[in-house]
Amino acid sequence: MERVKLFIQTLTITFITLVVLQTPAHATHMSGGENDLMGLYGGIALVLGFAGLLGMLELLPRILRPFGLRWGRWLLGGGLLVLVAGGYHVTTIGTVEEALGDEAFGRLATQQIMGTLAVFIAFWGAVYYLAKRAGVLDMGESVKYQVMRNGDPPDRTASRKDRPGEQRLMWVPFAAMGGLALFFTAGVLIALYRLPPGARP
Amino acid sequence: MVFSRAEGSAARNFFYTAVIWMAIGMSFGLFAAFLLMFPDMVKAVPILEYFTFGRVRPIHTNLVMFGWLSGAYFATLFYMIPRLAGTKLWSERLGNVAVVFHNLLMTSYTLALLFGFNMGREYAEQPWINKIGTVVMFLLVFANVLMTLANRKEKELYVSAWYMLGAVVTTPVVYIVGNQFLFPTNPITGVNDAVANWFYGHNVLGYWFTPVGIGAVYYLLPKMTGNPVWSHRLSMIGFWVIFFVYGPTGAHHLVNGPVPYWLQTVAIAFSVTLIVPVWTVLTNFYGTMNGKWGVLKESVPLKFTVSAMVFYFITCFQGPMQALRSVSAITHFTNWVVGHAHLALLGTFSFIMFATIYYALPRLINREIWSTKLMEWHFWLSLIGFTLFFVSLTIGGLVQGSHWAMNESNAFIQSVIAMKPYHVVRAIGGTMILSAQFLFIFNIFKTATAGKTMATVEVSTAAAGA
Repeated sequence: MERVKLFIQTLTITFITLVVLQTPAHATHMSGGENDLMGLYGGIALVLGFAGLLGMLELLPRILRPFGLRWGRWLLGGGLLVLVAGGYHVTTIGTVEEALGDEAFGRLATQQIMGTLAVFIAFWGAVYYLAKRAGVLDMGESVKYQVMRNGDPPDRTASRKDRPGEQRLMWVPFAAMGGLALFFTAGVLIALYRLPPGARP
Repeated sequence: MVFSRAEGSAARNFFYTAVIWMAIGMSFGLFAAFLLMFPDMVKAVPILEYFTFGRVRPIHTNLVMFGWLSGAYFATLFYMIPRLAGTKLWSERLGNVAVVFHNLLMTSYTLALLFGFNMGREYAEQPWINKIGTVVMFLLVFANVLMTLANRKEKELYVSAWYMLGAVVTTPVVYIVGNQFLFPTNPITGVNDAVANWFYGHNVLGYWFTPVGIGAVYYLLPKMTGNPVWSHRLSMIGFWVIFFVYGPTGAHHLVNGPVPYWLQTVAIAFSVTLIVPVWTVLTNFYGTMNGKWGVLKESVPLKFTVSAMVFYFITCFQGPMQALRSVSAITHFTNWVVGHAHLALLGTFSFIMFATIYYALPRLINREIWSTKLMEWHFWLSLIGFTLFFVSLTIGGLVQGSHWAMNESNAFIQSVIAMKPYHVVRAIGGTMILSAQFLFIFNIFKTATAGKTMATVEVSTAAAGA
């Protein structure tokens, strides 16, 4: 329970920090939006944070479990740090045209902070309250065995034992996911960088 | 017979009629794909005036979303919820009333759009009376599901039930609010209408299609592999995060548009956060599959499920990515987005429903699937056809977006000309997908009429810790 509480608190702080460090409009940006470098920092933070979370919940593979228990909260903290530092970095490079203290920046920032905070607090407050009341945060693992003996017999494949080498099939979906993710990312980057300089973000 | 009280009859009937609506809906989609290649096709034959792109396309989207997927989802709820609750469906008769009502409503959906009654709001094109009918349909099904859960014998709910219960509670709200509170005229106009439209348009995916689909995967994986779900706690974190994060993401469809800047930012931030619940599902997927990957060689439903997980990951990787302002500037309004929508509704959730039907239908009618070979054909034709389909749309979308971003006077017509090869590949992929579905329907028909009686399968649950 304590770990789940800590997770929810950390997540809330992380999101609020992310929102507070939103950057204002960047003059050279094609879309007029903020610098998407924040996406990169956010991605790294998510990876670190999720690995940390798995470690804290004792969900890493057995061999990595002691490592997860020892370092999970540090990974989560590291993710948060990347997010905060990244947000600060993006803010500094994004405020060339509209400096802190300008009326336009103030308006933009206030709108974003207030609007986003209102939504975040409402949503995360509700999720924590409802989850706590429903007692699901205290649920154990026993319920997952219920589905195995609910009168609906498992498929005949369920009793099949893996033959040597078949575990390697796990790499097929893994490769497909990685390949497609690369395909999409490369496609977008090529599209962006093939544009003439005037039209490029 | 129509309003039967026989156990499992409502689920079975929903499965049967859903696959028919799938064939009709996808046929309209393929016809629309051919219209993009031969736009003058409808001019030559007078009757085809009712089949212009503007009419055919919404019929395709409406029938696939509400006729096929929703029909199959209702069947899934009627099949899985009683088993998870340890009781019977509250009312089979009410379930069968819902089946008849659903089919009448889908006929009305088709005719209304064919005759040009279109409210002009994406995925909410139906006239007022059909929207009322849709809410009635949801209430007929959801009341039955809620009453079944209220009478449950199992005290604690398994993750599938949580996901499905979440969908049942939130979907009517999303539908009613997003469809302008069901007023006969659209009282909310302009930018506000766009915000309401996308609150519905995106959340019908997040609060209806996603949770029931994921709930079904959490049910099917242990049944097919014999492994209990890897971590129930992690699955519950995923459940709560998705339900409280999805809400404000709809406005990412309006990024770079005239909606408030803060609302766009909220939508982008929440869209990126969606990576968390996806991660929980995929982590559990890999954890549950551990030591059972060999089953993949023998089980077509598992092949569909694993492919669906790949497409689910990629949909949810693409979604946050295209919500970013600079990416959206290139991809918005292009074929990329059409590919993305198909990745979710066809590649992910339709594939999950194929797996569900192959698993559940034999148990409902006590007959083995008629032909394993046809199942294999169904899978491979669907997979290869769909890969051609979304890859061509994705590359085509980027080419289209690049032309538009040039902002030159002749760039638009160049973008139209440049789309030709992609439209051809898309139509080839679409033909393969539709052919696969006809094989699927034939197999289902033969299963129902000539399938062998199912042998009782005894599987030790000792390994599962029972």
